[in-house]
Amino acid sequence: MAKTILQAVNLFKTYHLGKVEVPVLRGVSLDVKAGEWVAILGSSGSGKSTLLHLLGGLDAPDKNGGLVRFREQDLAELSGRGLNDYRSESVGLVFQFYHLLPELSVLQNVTLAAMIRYGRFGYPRQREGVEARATELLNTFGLGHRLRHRPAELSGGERQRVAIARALCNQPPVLLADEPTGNLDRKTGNTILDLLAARKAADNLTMVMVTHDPEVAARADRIVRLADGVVATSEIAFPALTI
Amino acid sequence: MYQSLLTRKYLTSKVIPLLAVAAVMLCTATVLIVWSIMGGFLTMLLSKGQTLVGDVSITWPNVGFGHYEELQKRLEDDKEFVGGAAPIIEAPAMVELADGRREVVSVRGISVASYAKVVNLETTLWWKPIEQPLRKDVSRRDIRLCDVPLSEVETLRKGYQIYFLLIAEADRSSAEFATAIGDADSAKLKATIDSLNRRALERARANGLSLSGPERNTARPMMPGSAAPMVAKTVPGVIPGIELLGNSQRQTEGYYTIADVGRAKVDGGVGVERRWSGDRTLLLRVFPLDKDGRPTGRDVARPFPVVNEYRTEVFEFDRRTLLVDLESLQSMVGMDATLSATPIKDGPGIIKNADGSESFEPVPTGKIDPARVTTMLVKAQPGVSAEKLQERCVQIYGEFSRQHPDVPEVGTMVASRLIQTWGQRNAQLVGAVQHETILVLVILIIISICVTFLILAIFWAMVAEKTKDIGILRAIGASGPGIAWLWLRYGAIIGVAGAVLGFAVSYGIITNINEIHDWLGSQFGLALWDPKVYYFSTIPSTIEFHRAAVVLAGGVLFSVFGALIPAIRAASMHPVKALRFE
Repeated sequence: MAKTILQAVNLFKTYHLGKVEVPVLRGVSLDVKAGEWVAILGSSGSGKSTLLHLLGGLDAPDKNGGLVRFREQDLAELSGRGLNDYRSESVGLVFQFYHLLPELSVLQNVTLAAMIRYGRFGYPRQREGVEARATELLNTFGLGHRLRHRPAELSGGERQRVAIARALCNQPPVLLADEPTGNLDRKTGNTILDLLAARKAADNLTMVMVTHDPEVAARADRIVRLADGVVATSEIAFPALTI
Repeated sequence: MYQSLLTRKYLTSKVIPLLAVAAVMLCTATVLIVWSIMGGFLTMLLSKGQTLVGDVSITWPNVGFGHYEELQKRLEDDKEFVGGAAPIIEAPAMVELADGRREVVSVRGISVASYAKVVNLETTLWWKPIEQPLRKDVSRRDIRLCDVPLSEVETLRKGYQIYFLLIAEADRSSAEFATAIGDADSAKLKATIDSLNRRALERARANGLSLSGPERNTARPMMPGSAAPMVAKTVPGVIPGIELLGNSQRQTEGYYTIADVGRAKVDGGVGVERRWSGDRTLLLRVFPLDKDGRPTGRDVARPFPVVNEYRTEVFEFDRRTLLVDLESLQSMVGMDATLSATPIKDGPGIIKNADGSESFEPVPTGKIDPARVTTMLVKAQPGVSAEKLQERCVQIYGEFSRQHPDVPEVGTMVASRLIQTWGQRNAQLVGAVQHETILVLVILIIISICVTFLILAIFWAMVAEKTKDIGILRAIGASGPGIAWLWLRYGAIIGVAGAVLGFAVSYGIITNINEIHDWLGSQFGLALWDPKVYYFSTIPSTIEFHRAAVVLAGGVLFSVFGALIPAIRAASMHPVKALRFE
């Protein structure tokens, strides 16, 4: 039995829109096993992206609003630097709108995460290995001929592949993906999902993927349905039923 | 690491940072140009002024002090600090100017031999032949070149005066001149005029260096073609500053021409004369004091031939001061060695006037008062600063005054600040320029602060534009301080680029500023630097590198300050909010 790598315990998160309080998560608990692919399915406003941000250390739950553990380490107990290291080394983030830096080339976008991880003095020593790995990833993703191109010169699918390569460049054990196919046509989206599945298999990657599309969710090992800020169901996915 | 990559990319892919670089460049260049010119002006003022009075002066005004030959010897014996010492008298006097005005001036009695050790008199003498024209005098209009244009020569033949004529009265009446005027060959006349001009200038130089000239029997010289005037013995002369008499008129090219001067005629009309100062005789009137500084109630006037004019380039000196032989002035102001006479209070010397006031009649004491001077000018040895020399002069004067109870005590001299460097002596003038420089710098610093706000506005807009990038960087592990450093570094690089470009621009402008000024003058008639106002004929054109370093550092610092608030804003952005920013 695989060990739990990422754990959300009774998470609460409330946003404040002016004087109005909008509760988004109302006690979400979730265990993600190492090597597991979990899809978080829910309609718009169900709190799935917020949950992903909490899991990724981009945001913190309400005070006394639960906790997030990575390998049994409570993220709230990490220092600012520890949290930066967590985002840099332990998780990779993929977004619906790719979020590439337009001034950088494909290769520079991918190696950016490693530059941040190793810093001013460490990166020059690692540079060769990092660039080799980034190039290998991009080759695997069919972008070997696009290394020097700018994001503006790529299609949507190509941009998302670059974003995934960036998320994987530091070889994190966990990949957090927020609607990775949400902005792509179905065929391109399937290509992206195939690619993620292949990396998961190759690297025993743990993946938490947020989607509102049941068909996409069906590619995961397990589907967690989120409704009104709470976990409605958690079930094994049956891809065949969604065809 | 990522900061350097992104800084490079942001710099080269946007127009806005280039505008920020341009703003810093213009600001840096403006500050550096103005500071260099103003600072250079001050430096020139100090160094040029020093050419007239040496490095340190020891002064007991009006009354003066005796035994000055001994003080001079004591000073000159100190070879380590003192390069030379010159006793002089500075006294107020009245002169009659070319247009009939009478003006109070400062007369300076000098002994040429000692004065030349302290001040390079020959350099300051204006009327002497020169071989190379002044830098701006491209058309060679300077009379001292002894190169009369042929067209002017022909004007002379028709009986008109010409600007290029310096020939003394005696030469104008000579057979050589009369023959040349009569000769139809213009070249011959030109050669004669050039030769006679040169002779007049050589004579002016020699007379200037000896501070003596021919005695003339009238203050109004003869006009050309008149009967031969006096030819007389050599007598002590006077050298006024070139701006004093009003005969010599400065041109924008830097040289002087002989001015037309209007004078009332006996028939009620107005006559116009063009006369070289070297042809004039000046009536100098002084007001003697006794050895205790009391006015004697009489004035002494004496005519002196003007033997040359000097130009230190410090307008106030050139306008207000004239040089005369020390012994002549001593005798005129009663500072020569005389039988001592002292008024006795309530004694027989006191005279009660009808209006109730008192005057006195000195009573002889039977002793001899030594000759006096008011000032001792001291020149420093090379490498000795004026301040060091000043300290040494205080010591030497102290030893000297202890030997002579009849001279002012050193404590009084120091307390009254009468042993001064040139800068201290002219603190008012120098201080005015210093204050003006500081004022201009303050204004420019305020402009620089405006640039800081400009950079702030540009960076604020850029940070807003790059909000999503900041969110991405935070999401993949960048720290807040790392993001702040990205923007601070960006600001610093814009500052460095702007400051370096600003330095290059200002270097180009300052080193060619006189050419640029001339070009503006020739193209648009603009004469921004009037030598009459700014003392000097050329604009200071050197960049002092310590100033450049300060301005460059300031440019970078102001840019970093401008980037500071946007950098803090960027660093404190919430990653999720930044990612959701639209």
